[in-house]
Amino acid sequence: MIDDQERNGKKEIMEEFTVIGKRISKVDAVDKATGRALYIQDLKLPGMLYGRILYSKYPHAHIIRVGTEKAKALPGVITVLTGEDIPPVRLGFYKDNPLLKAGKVRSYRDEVAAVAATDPEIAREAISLIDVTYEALPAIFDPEEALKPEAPLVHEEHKTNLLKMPWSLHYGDVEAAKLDAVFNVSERFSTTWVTHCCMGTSGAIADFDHSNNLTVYTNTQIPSLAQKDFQETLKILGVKDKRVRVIKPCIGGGFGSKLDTYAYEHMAILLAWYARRPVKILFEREEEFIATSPRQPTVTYISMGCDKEGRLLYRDMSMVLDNGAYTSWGATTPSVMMMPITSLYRVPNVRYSAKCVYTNNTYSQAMRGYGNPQATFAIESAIDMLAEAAGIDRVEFRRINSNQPGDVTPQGLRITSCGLPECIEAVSKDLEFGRSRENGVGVGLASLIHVGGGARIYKSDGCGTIIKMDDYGKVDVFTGASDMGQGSDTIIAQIVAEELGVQVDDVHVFHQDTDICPWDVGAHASRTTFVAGNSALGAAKKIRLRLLAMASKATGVDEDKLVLRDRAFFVEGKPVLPIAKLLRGSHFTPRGEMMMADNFYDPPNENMGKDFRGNMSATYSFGTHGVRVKVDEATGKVEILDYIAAHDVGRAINPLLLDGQVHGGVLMGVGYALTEQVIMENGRNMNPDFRDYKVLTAMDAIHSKAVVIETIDDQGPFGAKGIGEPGCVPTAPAIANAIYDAIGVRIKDLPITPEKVLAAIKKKNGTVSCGIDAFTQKEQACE
Amino acid sequence: MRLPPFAYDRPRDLYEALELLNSYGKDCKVLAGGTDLLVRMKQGLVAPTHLVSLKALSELAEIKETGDGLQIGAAVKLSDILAYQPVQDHWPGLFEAVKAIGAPSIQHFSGTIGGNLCQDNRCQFYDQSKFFRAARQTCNKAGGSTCFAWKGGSDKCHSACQSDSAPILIAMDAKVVIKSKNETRTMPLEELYSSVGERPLTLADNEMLTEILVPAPTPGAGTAFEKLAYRSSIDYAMVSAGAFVQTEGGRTTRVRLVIGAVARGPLSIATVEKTLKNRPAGDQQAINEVAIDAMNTAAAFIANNMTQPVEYRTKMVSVIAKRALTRAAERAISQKGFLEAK
Amino acid sequence: MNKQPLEISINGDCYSLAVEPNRTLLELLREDLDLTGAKEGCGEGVCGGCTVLMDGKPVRSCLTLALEASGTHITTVEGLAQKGELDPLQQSFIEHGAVQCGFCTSGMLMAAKGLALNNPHAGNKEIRNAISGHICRCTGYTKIIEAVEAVVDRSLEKR
Repeated sequence: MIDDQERNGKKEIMEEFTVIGKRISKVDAVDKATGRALYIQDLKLPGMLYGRILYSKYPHAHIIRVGTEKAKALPGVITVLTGEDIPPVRLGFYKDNPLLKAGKVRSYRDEVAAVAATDPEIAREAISLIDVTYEALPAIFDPEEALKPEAPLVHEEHKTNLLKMPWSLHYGDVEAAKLDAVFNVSERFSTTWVTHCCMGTSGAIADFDHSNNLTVYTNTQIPSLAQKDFQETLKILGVKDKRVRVIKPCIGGGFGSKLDTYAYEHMAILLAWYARRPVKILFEREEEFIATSPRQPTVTYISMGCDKEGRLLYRDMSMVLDNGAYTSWGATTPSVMMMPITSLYRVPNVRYSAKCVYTNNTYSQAMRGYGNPQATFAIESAIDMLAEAAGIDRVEFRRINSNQPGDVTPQGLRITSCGLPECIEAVSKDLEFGRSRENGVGVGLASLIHVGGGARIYKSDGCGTIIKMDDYGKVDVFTGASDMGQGSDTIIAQIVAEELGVQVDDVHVFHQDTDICPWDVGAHASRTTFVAGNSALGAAKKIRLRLLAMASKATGVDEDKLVLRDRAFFVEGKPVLPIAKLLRGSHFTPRGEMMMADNFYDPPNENMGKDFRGNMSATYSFGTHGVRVKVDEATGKVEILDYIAAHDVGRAINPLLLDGQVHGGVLMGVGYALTEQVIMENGRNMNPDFRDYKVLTAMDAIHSKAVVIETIDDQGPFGAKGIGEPGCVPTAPAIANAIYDAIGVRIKDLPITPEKVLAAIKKKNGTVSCGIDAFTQKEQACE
Repeated sequence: MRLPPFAYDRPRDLYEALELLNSYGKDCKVLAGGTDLLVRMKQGLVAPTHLVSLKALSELAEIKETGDGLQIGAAVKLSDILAYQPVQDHWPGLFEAVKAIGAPSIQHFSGTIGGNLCQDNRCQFYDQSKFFRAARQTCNKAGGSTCFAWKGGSDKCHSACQSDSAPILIAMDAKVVIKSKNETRTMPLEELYSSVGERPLTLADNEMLTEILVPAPTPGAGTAFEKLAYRSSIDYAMVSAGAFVQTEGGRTTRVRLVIGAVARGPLSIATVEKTLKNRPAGDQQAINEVAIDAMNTAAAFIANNMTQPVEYRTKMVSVIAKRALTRAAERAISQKGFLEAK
Repeated sequence: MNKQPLEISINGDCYSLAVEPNRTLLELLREDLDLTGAKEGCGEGVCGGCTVLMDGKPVRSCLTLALEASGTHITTVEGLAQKGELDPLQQSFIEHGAVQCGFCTSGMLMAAKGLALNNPHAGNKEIRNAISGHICRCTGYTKIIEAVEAVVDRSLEKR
């Protein structure tokens, strides 16, 4: 009832697939539904200690003294470390984040000391026994304020709170276009902190063997890069040329939160190093809220103009981003924001600049969409405003400006497959824009562009795969990909099974261990289906060729007459040789061979140049969301009546999993739009729990309809493009646009809480009284 | 998160339980469903040395209809109240309130009505972990001498009573039976609440709430409960309201309105009877007046004890009060229970 | 503090144990008995990850003292499958794509099982209600609701 998947018939030249395009259950679902799946929470090593971190009591202060005597004296405490005790390990690509702070803390989240003890409760008590003397410093929490010359410096040695980041571009001539434009809008939008809320909290176990080789069990999205980070930490400890092995247990959700390595991982390593025993650090829920990195707040100034036919002439945007006290991948989100800013709809002249600013708030990180939700909120809200200014229907306005296959955008993105026009049609047909409706009800839509064919953030965007087959025709796939619940193991198994003529059950995908699995840059940018999928497909093709050659030799039939399907070779529809038999034969033969192949796939995308031009992704995903809302004008509460999410996914390799990505993304987006916010009071997280951080519940879950537009991308594995992130990108502006349609007020700051809606109604009506108006007898909105 | 250590008793009957309360005194807490108490213990807000479990006290787990009305044992599970047909038929307001508590899988099978009525007050600055609280001064409720929820500070605690069942039960003139080893007293439910944030209940250390008595339904009466929250489950109310309206010949003869979640105890709106009495039931103008009264009354109490803004919650008192009164009046006239009314 | 005796049946096995009063049922299951299917997602009864059945009714094991479970029958996710046969709910979760990261899955399954036992013909609203104290960050709940509905539908057919 809820899931009405529709197929678009555009390219329905139906290839005959046995597993591609089928609704196949996730390969790890049985283990997860029976309680067998092991998460970091469930792992225990012999002799393992429990580590815990002491965080700062101040948002900005000098550390005068850290007294650890009492903690060290507590029975069961094995190791206590402070910033003075350890070599200078620094985290993040900007290397501004000392693992343990010495001299100064810059946010409440700052790690001041750490302990390892025989029991988690002893570790907790030990932490409470550490005496820290601070001398408070003036702190700064507003990024725009932090740019003023008199603002306190978060990092004195950096000389300014403005990060040295190059985020500025100008294509075409925006100033000239402004003169040409007939209709213009100019607005300020803002978004706030939201956090991933992975159901499985963060944790890691570090374990050294007697030769100082290190194994880290951690739920990371970047095993290969984590391996490198951990190597660097070992180097600083003076441990060189040792092996670092990263093992990923089942991951209880990622959403971008695990794209960097964090203090808890490196702290576990140091505690294990000094204690000479395995150490586990596992976050509790409060710590998960406080000490993991949220999506950062943005302030966006946007102006946009069009000619009298409604064609966009320019887009001019500037942003201020709250980086927080340290630098992780939050600071580089503008590189991805550039994509919607320059390329969502056809717009010839574009200017953009972004400032990432140090504050004494928590530091920010990647979260599903990586900057795109923030940028798209401003763009798509402003598109509606511009359409209204131009007197053009909102849907028509988007049709006029829609990206089309073959476009090259000002940034140099080469649009190949593009189903955006079809997405817009699907949504407008379904929601019947312009239909008359009851009071307080409105509809809205918003679109998105996202990377769908990897994203060349690093020098490499590659992923490796190794495939081997055994005596029984079973296939082991060793992939660099990281399955954190999104289902990449299943997608890879389907791709390999299809290519090798076996069933998904015959394929076992390993992704858990850097000692076994090949290299990959990580599970980000919706890249896994495309990049790891192509990598696996390439390896499978190599195996297939070898199998065909061997089978031809064994049967005496020409390769082009052999058909590989259903675990066997067929000639003219009749099975002649089971794969298993062929493989056994090759093993039990003098000068035999084993069936194994590897493949490294690096997509044909480009690093951005100095001016940020470059085709960062091999292809792009598109989508349009439409929503019908009902606003309670007395309370300001917004109810979602209908939701439709149309996505151009290239090809749906597994419509079941695809739906899951869309439904999950949409509800996360609805939370971003309406209820979720990390409430910060002078740098302190005021709602570090599920009661007050409002993740939507099943009672609030919406009726959402996922529409799949298949454009069969030339580059994608079986035509597929990425879909991990897009589901949560255009949700907030679609809802904001629907609220405007319903009651004529535009909310420009996320989240759109009832009190903001009510305040806006009041402002619009110019009313001064509150609550119930005694004269009109109406429930009267108030600010 | 582990619980601090304590001793555990599971008395076999009420007498034994009251004996234990009497001997342990203030170091002891009654454990019913545990959904509120155990969280507070994990957060280090309370540290009883003894817990007395009501698990085996079947005499407290009974709900029955008598000639005088509804008799609900304090340890009756919320799910049992919802499943009890007479509640669905005759006390729709109570049904709505109990349904609105927490999230169903807590509420249905663990939480008890006594636990909901006797829960401690809440505040965003107090109901936090030890770690969170350590970064500030100790507040009034925690034994210190400041209040972060009151603008400019205060010498008393401005936490909010977050019981969803209290407003409607008070509106219906429910009584409670309080027992100690040597004494039994019956009093109006509202007297259970002290309006002292630090110690919101008037129960002595050796006393226990054992029963809730709800008057029998009268012809021409209607009840309703309203709750405003961001989400449809889990959330505590930003504002709640319980309303009781008695009508005769289409006119209001008796009415009560109690606002929840805004003050240190459930907040009875005194002027409601004067304004609505003898007016046609559901008279919107009169209800508006009362709603504004309710808002003005609440405004003196609402503190920054939730993450939602004080101004907004204050204004919403009028909206929620109006909705509760209107629906109660509708029910009074139509004489329909919760399920029929839907 | 002194340990107290605890007689408890878990997934059909009877245990005679001695536990400390402050041991929660979740700690007993996960740490003492190595039944790690129930998860601690928050430890304060909000996320639902630790839900198990006590005499057929879903309870939060993180807010239930082990001693309070004395004399009861506990079912955890490990006890849902019978003699190697998956419970229809498990099968349905798997087939309907209701499992993503899997961390909420065992709690969701136990809540759904509790619903199926107590109200085998529950509708969409009752299903949402039954899992409304469980947070899932991956699925948007859609597929979970669908999976439970499918089992309810089947039991309707049998009727």
